[in-house]
Amino acid sequence: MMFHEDIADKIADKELAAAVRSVQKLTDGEYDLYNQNEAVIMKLLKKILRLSKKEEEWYLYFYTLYELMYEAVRCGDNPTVVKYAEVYYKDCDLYMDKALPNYSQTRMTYMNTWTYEQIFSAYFQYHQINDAKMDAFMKKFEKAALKYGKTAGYYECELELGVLYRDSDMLEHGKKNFERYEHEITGCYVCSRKPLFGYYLCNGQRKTAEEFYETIVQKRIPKQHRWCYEYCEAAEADDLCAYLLQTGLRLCRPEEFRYFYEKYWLKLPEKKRKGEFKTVYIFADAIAENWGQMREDLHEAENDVAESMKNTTVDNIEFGLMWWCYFALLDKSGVHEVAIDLPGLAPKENGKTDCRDISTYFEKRADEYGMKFAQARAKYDYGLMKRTYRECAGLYGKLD
Amino acid sequence: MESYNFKVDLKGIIRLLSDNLYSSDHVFLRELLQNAVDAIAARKKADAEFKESRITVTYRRNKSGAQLTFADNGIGLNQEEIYTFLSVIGQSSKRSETVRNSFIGQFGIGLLSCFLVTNEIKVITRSVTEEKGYQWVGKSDGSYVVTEVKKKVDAGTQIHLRLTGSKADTFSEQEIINDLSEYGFLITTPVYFDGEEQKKVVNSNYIPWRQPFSMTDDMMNFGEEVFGESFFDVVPLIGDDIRGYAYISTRQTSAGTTVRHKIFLKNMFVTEDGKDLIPKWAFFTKCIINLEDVTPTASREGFTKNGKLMKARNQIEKCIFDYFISLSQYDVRKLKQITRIHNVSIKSLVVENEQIFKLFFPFLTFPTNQGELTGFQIVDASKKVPVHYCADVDDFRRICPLLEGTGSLLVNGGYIYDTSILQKLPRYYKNVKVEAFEDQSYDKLLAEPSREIRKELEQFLIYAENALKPYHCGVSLKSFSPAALQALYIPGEDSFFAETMDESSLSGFFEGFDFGETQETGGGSRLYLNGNNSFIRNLAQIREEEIAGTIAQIIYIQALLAGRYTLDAKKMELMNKSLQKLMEYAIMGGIDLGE
Repeated sequence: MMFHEDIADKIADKELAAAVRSVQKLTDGEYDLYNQNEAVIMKLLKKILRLSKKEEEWYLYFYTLYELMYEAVRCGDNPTVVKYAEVYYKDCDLYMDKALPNYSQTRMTYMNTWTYEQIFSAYFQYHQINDAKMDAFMKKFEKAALKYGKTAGYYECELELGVLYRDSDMLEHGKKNFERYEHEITGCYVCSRKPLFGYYLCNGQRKTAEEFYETIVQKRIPKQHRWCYEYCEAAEADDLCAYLLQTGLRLCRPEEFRYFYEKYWLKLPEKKRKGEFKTVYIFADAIAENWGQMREDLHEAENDVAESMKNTTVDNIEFGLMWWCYFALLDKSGVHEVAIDLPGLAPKENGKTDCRDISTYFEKRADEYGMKFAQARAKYDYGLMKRTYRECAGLYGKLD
Repeated sequence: MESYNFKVDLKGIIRLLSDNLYSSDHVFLRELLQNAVDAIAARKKADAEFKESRITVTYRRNKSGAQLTFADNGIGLNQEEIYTFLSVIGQSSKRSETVRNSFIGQFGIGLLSCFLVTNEIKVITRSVTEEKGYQWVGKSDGSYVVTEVKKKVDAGTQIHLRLTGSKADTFSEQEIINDLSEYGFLITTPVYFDGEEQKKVVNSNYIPWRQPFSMTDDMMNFGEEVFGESFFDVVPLIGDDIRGYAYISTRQTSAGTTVRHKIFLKNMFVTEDGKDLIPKWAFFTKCIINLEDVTPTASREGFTKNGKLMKARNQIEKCIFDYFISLSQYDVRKLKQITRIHNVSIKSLVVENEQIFKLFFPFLTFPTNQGELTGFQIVDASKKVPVHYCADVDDFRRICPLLEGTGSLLVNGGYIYDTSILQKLPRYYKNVKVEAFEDQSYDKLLAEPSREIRKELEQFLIYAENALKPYHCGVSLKSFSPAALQALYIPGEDSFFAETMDESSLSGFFEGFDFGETQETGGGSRLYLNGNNSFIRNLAQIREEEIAGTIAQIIYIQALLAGRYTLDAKKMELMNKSLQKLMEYAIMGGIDLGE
């Protein structure tokens, strides 16, 4: 449920309190409920922002900014995160310390770090945020995390950035400091610790990564954290394995990808194809020549293109590379044409499009975004990333 | 190595009891009543022939205060038991587990509660197994004296307390009667009060569930007597070790209302607070319940949260739920009436439970653009016309006028629970389509005006657009009903962002981002002028940009006010300035604003 339970009781303005209660009612359940109500929730959150600012309910205001960004991140609505980050910066300067002079004794203190985490999750994947901006942001984030607490959140993000850059120094620094502040973590054990996989795989510690994976999957984590198995998708074996595969891809380590793919992924009893790693699921199925959900896959491909404005640059690169391989594998498996509706790609007279053409279409898209990102971030090697996807898909040499 | 015993400060313990354990000093009456009831139960257990149980409370006032005596003809204590049970704190006379379960008193601290009101407790007791009687006099400093009573005393126990000072004033005769009546309401042993002004049995109550047959009228009268109010209906609460009634209030209640129930354990009153026992959704009921198998807390003013309490709660919930199920089958009229009275509270339970949803939804009422309709009418309408709902009351008010004459049904989902219920409707009722009214839904209501009208107002639109640019609002021309409506303001999805931020306040991080259409003026906020409205059509005659701009600004403010949007300082200033300008134009005799 969004917002803590008794928050509405303390709000004097009836309209504002009613809006908060409505949001709570619409989110009082699992994430399916959030998904069903997404549009209404976002609308109500924006209404709460407006009213809480008018009423100078600053705690609620900043809490709502966080919830709005959290929901936007969850739904992949990255533009909203980027835009409302601007509102956050501006109003933090104007009101935060003024409204919350005893910030260290309020819940707001953590909210700041959490808000920065949401902003990070969008920024670090956008080419518009170049190296200079990213460095500036990370400094700002670190300063806030050290000031407001829940500092481990910052180092989790540093680990994620380290994976994208394949930067072992950054991963080393992130891990060391993450462990220093690990005790502060009150949220999901798996979500907060899974970025460590990046460190292990980058440093050749596959065995440690495996042990860590098995500890989580076999529910051997410390007792007090086991609630996460009940509430968090990240703690489910298929989602965690998908995260590992994505980490292998992002680190450009095809050998790690293949290892976990063969040892764990193929043996998973259930793969639900939901959440943020949906594309990894599709990619892994394509490698296994599992075309049972082809119709849904084609729809997903159309959707990825249609939603490209909402996606980050890295999303668009990864979607592009994945579909590039997917349609090449589909063609290789004997399906040479499919009915698909993609802007700028006219179908043949029979209404279908050649898989090779679709593959090329996505390759171009991935290249376009890849170039932009590589230009913006010196440590990002798009060429290597592209080769990694091809190698993971087992297409080496076939596409040249 | 020498070992030592803790020293116990009795005064400190009593202060602890009064400050932390018990909520008021009145509980000493309950504790004494409880001890008496338990002693009688023990005697009955030991002697199956024993029938004439009685508890007598004597109250006499004198110069120095009041003398209160509690006497029972229960099992009494012998000398050894006096030393064991009266003189060791925390030692309950209900020793073995099987015996314990028959009583409420389990902590051996009940008698101590008398020190909340007096400094000295005198106990005269004779065990049924002995001829000799004993007197125990304990003081609040921890000292006590035990002596043999020379006179012949009846089997049982008498407790004598002297109330002085403020305690004597607090515990007036009437106050004691009230407390005894409340605590001992369900006790089966008669409690005889022998006071200076009143002499009566305080608990000669007719308890319907103890009768072989009880009619609804009896139960309703009982509820009226217990709670001092009349009720709409009664639900018998019957379960393993549970008897009682849940009364359905005739008045509207809300989830936040504190309901005072009467909850008893083994016939002794425990608490009015039903939050751990009565399901939250049943807040429109008032219950009187006697439980036999739950565990009291040390203060006996509540229950320990354990499996027994959960079991009791589940049984009570089932009784109330089953009652509604049976009404839906046998007495729909009554169900409709209850739903009308407790619409909101029932909605809260409908949201939580599929069965309850199906049971109540047809009878619940919802505000719509066609008046208040029941769930059944909404389902029926959905077969004929499109049905939408708004999650926000203001949106509902704004959209309603646009739907006049369209036949469409718009439900106001802005009140608590309504949106959640409407969203679940298609899940539980097949083939029912109810959708949220979203911004795209406006497209169906706002038609493109004719070419002729567009041409006429082309220039005015340019002026209006310029005039409203500083307010982050675009302007469009559409045709919509009713024709009397001049304009409609629809906030953009990101109007808050647009209003909060301007280019100068954007950080360096934002540079280079382009999110396409979401970047349009004002985050998509728009003023739609109605091409069907004659006043708007007349605006085509205005050729002066300044006048056109002023009028556009006033139409904008009017549309904001009509839509119940809040005017911030900037818009208030705009309203004042543009009205002043308009008056100046009127004084100058400059413009003709049409009809």
